[in-house]
Amino acid sequence: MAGNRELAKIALRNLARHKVKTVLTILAVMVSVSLYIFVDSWISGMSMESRRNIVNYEMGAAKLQSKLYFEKKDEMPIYENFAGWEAYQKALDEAGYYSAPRFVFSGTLFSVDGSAPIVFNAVDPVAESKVLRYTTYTEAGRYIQNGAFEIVLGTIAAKKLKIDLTKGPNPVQISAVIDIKDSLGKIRHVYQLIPAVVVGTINSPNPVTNANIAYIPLDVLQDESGMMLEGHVTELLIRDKNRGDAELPGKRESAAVISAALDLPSELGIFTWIDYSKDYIDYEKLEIGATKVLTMLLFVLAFLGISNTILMAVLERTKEIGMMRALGMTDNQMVLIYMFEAGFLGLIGSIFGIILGCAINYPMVKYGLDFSEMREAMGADASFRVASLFRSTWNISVIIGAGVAATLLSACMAFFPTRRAVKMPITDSLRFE
Amino acid sequence: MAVIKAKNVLKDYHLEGQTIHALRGVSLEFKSGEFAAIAGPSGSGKSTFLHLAGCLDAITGGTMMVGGSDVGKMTRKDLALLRRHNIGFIFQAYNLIPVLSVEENISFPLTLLGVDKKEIKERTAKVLADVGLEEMAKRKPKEMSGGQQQRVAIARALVKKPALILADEPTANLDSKIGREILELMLSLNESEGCTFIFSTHDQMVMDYARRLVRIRDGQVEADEVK
Ligand SMILES: Nc1ncnc2c1ncn2[C@@H]1O[C@H](COP(=O)(O)OP(=O)(O)O)[C@@H](O)[C@H]1O
Ligand SMILES: [Mg+2]
Repeated sequence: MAGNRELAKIALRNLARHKVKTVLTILAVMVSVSLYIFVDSWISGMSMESRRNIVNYEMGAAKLQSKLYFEKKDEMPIYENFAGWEAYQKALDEAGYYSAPRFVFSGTLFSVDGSAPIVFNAVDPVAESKVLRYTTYTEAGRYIQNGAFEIVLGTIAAKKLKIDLTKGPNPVQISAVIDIKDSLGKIRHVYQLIPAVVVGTINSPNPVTNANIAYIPLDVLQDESGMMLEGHVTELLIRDKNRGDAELPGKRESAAVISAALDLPSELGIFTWIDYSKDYIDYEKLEIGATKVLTMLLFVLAFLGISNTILMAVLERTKEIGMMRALGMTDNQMVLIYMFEAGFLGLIGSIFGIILGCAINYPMVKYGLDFSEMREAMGADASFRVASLFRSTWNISVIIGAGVAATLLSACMAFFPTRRAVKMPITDSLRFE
Repeated sequence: MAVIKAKNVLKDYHLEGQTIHALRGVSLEFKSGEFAAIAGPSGSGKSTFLHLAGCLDAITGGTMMVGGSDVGKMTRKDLALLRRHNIGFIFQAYNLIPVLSVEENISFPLTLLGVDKKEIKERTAKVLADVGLEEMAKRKPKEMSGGQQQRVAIARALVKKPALILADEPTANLDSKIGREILELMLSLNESEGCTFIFSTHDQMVMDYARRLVRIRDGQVEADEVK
């Protein structure tokens, strides 16, 4: 068999025949490869950061919680609470985990100038700051302390309630409904008004902590003047003491390993951040999917360009193709020449695309992008948990993969036009003008 | 042995809704080692016959045997290999590969055959000298005159010393002196290597050189004389 090298040589020289067209096609591949790399890096940086932020600012690695609560967690069923968390906290501490008790309830917060629906997290400030990181992100004022009816508020809620910490105390009223399950399983509602003072606002890298959310000491809510909790909590947040903030939860933070350190009754369970972040992960998948589709469209455009270039080339060289076949080139060899040509376009475009992609990506990874301004307009639902600065991440397999895929796809673009050209009778090819 | 055995060959072309009967029942046999010319007016079907004998197109009717095999029953790949190994073609319009130099054009059939580099070099240099183009080895086809390109096309067909060489009006673009030299070269190849040559031609000189002259008109054989 004639060396494929000879075919590759002809393909390379063919590329030099219409330099402008070749350069334009290469540019199209280059742009789509580099954009793909850039966007992928952005979106995976965003996802990575969001996942870290959920763990570091929202919930830790896992929650100890009533199984019934988890089932109905969207309704916030505060009656599915449990007592005796101190013993679990001690056991967890001995096993090398930090844990923080919480009683989460919803209600309305009234300030002098307004009101807003708020999710209240009754927390142990000391334990809280061991498991989560938002406690240090007080934009104004300070974090709450035990023993006082103090509140810190997400900055967005604070703005809505016109809280101004520079102008003395900010008295507020918490209006909440206490749902109590009696011994027959019936739920009783008790309406409660609790006066408190706002002492700080939170603005952390996770927008969830900055929205309609309030933190209040757990210890003051135990009796009639509070939420009548009497030692009950809705959850215990858990994090491995030895896990760094930059790391996502590890094997030691799986439900099975944590459960093994505890002697849990059957109604309680461990629910990991993944169990809890289904909504977010679905959103992330959708978002990544949509972005991929958009960048794919760019790819498709580049490949249509290649396909068109090859189509025109094949047409223009009909006579030449006929003659080469007359010399004894097989159909497959003919197709291969043009696949080489298109593949070279893809390869050169990919190489430049990777260089360009890495160049524009470098500052995004090194310095990141601050979009706090943009953020406020976006709201803070189950979306990316990135409040301000975020960085792209390098993804070597995607960078190389994009190049390889672009090269192979380009090569494939030559298949059909050439296939059709070699089906023509040689004499017709030779007469073609 | 018969290199070509055409029996009652028909060839129709379809062009803009019309059917052209280019060959209307041609039966011709060419033995190994022949040096034959096909003559006839323009449009009589000379090129068509050479193309069919060279397996460049399918016949419409009859049978065409090339090198003992029925062309109609061969796969596309086998036909390509038959052309590669056994047939050299010289086209009326030179049809060189524009991106390859003269030298590379000539050595291309040998590369396809997988001949080793050193031998390719030697054989290419020799045939280049035979057609008088040693000085132009590095040129690209478009940098040469029509006659020079024709000589490259001839060299490309001769270099692999195929069993059958089909030459479609090979001297049409050459002056008579060079035409004669080329014919002498072909004749010597015919005598030393036993290559079979079939020409189509208008040129009296080619007819004089030929040892057999077939005349066709309107797609049919009119006369067939061995000198
Ligand atoms: N590929 C083709 N398609 C359509 N018509 C063709 C084709 N090749 C040849 N013909 C027609 O067939 C006839 C014979 O042509 P050809 O064999 O080229 O004649 P010659 O070589 O003797 O001049 C002519 O009428 C020509 O126009
Ligand atoms: Mg002709």
